[in-house]
Amino acid sequence: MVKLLSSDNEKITVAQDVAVRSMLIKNMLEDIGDAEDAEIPLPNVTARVLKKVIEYCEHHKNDPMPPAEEDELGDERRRSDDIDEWDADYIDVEQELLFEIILAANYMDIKPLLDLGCKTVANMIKGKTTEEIRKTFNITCDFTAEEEEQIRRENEWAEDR
Amino acid sequence: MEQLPCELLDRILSELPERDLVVAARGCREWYMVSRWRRSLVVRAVPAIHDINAILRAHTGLHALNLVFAGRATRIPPNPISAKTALVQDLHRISEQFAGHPTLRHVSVESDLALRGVLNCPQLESLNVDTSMTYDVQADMTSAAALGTSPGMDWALEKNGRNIAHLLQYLPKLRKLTINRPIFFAYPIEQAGAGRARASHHVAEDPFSLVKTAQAPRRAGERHRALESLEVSQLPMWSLINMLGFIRRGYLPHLTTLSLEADLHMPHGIITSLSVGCPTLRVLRLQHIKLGPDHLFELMTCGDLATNLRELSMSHVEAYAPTAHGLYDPLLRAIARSFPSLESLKLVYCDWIASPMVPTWAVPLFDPATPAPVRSMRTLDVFDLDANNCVRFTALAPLFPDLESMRVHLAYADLPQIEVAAQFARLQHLELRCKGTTVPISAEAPTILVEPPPVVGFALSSSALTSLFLWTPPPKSWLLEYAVLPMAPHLTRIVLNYPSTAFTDLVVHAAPVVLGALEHLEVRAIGADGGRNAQRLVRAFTHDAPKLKFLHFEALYHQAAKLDADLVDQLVAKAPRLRALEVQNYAITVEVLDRLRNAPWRAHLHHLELCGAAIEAMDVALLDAVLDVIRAYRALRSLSLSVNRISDPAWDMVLALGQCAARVRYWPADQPVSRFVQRSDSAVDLASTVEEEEARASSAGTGKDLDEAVAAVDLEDPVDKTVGYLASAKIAGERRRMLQTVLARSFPGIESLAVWTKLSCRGLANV
Repeated sequence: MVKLLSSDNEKITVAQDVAVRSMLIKNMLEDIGDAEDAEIPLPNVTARVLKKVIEYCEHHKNDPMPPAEEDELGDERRRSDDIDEWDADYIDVEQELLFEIILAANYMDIKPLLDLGCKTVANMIKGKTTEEIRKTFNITCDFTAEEEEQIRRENEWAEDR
Repeated sequence: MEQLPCELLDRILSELPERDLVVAARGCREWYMVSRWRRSLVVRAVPAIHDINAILRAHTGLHALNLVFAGRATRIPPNPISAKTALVQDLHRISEQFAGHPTLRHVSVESDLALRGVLNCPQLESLNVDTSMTYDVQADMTSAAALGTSPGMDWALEKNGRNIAHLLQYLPKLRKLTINRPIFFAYPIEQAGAGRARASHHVAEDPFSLVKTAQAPRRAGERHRALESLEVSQLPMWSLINMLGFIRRGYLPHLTTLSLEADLHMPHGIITSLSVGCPTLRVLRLQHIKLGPDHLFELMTCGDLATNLRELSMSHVEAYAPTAHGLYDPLLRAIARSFPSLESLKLVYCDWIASPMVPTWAVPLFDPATPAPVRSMRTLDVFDLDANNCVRFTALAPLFPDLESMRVHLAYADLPQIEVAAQFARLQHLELRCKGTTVPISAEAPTILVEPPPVVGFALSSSALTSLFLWTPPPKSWLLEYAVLPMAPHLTRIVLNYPSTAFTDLVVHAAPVVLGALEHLEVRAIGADGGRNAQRLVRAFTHDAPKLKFLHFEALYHQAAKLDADLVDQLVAKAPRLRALEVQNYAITVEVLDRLRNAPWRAHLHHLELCGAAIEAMDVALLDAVLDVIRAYRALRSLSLSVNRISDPAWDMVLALGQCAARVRYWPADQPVSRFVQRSDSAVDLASTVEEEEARASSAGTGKDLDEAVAAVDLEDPVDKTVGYLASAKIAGERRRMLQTVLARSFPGIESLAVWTKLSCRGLANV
């Protein structure tokens, strides 16, 4: 068992095979060796998010480990609509939690979860107009009118299809 | 969103197709900035691209560029020729503009003219040049004529720069080169020629700072130590001979992969050139090549090259073998004897010619004794449905005991019933196809091969088997008796094409087969009994299929078969995890649809297809039942429906379609459904193919109305090949509005819809 300490000082105990889905924890465990009582502090992750992340690791504990580095050409073939059904249900959360999960997955180095989060956000962007995207993600437009026009012209080629 | 650091935003944006990316980039400065970090770019050569270099300049860290012909998009109906020609010109224009990029590592282009810019990509590691889509015979003839009068170098360098030696001089880091119609001069071109080529490129006038005019090419005649993979196709004989000279002189000392595709007689000495020039060669692929009488024997006996070869692929190659009759067994033995490190062997429709005499030095290759097993061998493909040569599986196992994938398509494969439990213990994928006899599918339609000749049984047991593909499986009892299925606990995929009634009886009458791991099942049956056979097989394989995700079954016959409600009941009860269901050429009833509606997969199924003559006659009750299913299936992303006849006046406009099919692409529910009729600007291609007769038929509406009716929403993006379009020129005015209303009501959360007709106008008039 591995003891994790969240940023709000909550102790959470998880099984080893679940915890090592996080490369961060895996590396830390290798560093501290057999120290039984060692707590792994996760100062960037709140208990609420950590529990959610553990839920993911729990479900995927038997998956093969993802390859360390992907071929660069690979990203052309990546698809954002091949999300597994369990994953889709899992990631169906409100926006704030979604971003927290992405941040935690990044910090804890859980690549499949990071991919899942990014794909989900990408799917939220797809098919929307710029205005709709701003509204969805609460983005303030900081372009001048000229800049906006220039970018529009620059990107004309990609939209014309 | 502000909380996300840039690198995560980059990750998110890199999931987007180009179209969505540029829209998102306009959100704010940060997004715009991050969107420029994109590593790979697919640029479709459309007229709107005024300056390709400006686009590339905006992407400072670009690693991969794919400059593609915009006319490739599959559309129904296809683009008119004129539009295609214009798009070819766009491709050439944009390719000619391309001036290189300092960080590009992977480039794929479809026009010769881009090659000049390619020379200015010093970091390039892989280059793919494929001009087959845009090949202009006439222009090439002109060039060829010019070649006769002017020095060939000028043509090669200034016209299109396809000289490999020249490309390699400029691209010291190139590891992989794939090119069609390449030119090989025996020697790299001298500096003077190269200088002229660059001058003609108007480099001086190009303000793009990335162009390094001062960059000196590598010295002529220097060896290229980076190139590992060379794949060439469609090269002329003189070019091939020069290429062999190039290789023999050792200019490509580290080549490991060579792929040749050319409809040519191989010159003498090719094998010697390879073994002398690139001792590191591991992969040899030959396609459409005509080998001389001794070539294959030479390859088998050429020392280090043969000893180290990992992959040999011969596709549509003409080659000489000691005897054409019963060829494969001695040939495979000789191959096993000659290539002890082989991992993959592919013999696809080779034309074997009986060699009048085998040279004395090659005779030992064909010793009938079994050579030592090739333990490295993983993949074997033998496709040759024209030949009566057989492969004896009992002879194969001692040669390649560790095969993981075996695909054998032969007219006659000899599979004696000998139980060898350990045979192919690692086999995961098995694909067998034998030639069968013919069965007519209708009075007019052609016949299709079904029943194989009396093939002896087959013994195979492999607990590793995950995928089984049988084409015209033999009726004998090998499948079950010899325990392919019961002993394959990991079997996840079964594809059965054209099973005979005898085969079906066998499966059905055998004890129930438990396929706990099965995820994918496809059954295509043919003939008058086909509809029944396919259903019986599906029932036999799914009586317990907790993991089944994909199910396709179809009956190839001119009449639709009846779909049993019992089978649907079984699926509903036993295959709760179904994600995709395709039923073709079965008559679907309200009863069946009601059962489908309440299936346990209704929250997860994302693809539903009821095609062929799936729905014989559509009335209100049936249509309502279909719509109920669609509404109940919340996760549905793709729907394909076909209807033969609709008999209710309320569905007049669908009646006009005669036979319609709808394909639905999932879109987030907050998107306005009407979006699919808004973009009439891209309707040009479709509108121009609408026949005048149809235009008159719809004259009730205004011209604008027609435009809207044919609003083709081309949603194709490079990532997702789903095409949505509304080709409903036949729906005009009132009918169109009705259709829209119905669609909007029936397909909440659905963004695009395709409706197309299969019947001609004349057919419509009769309805």
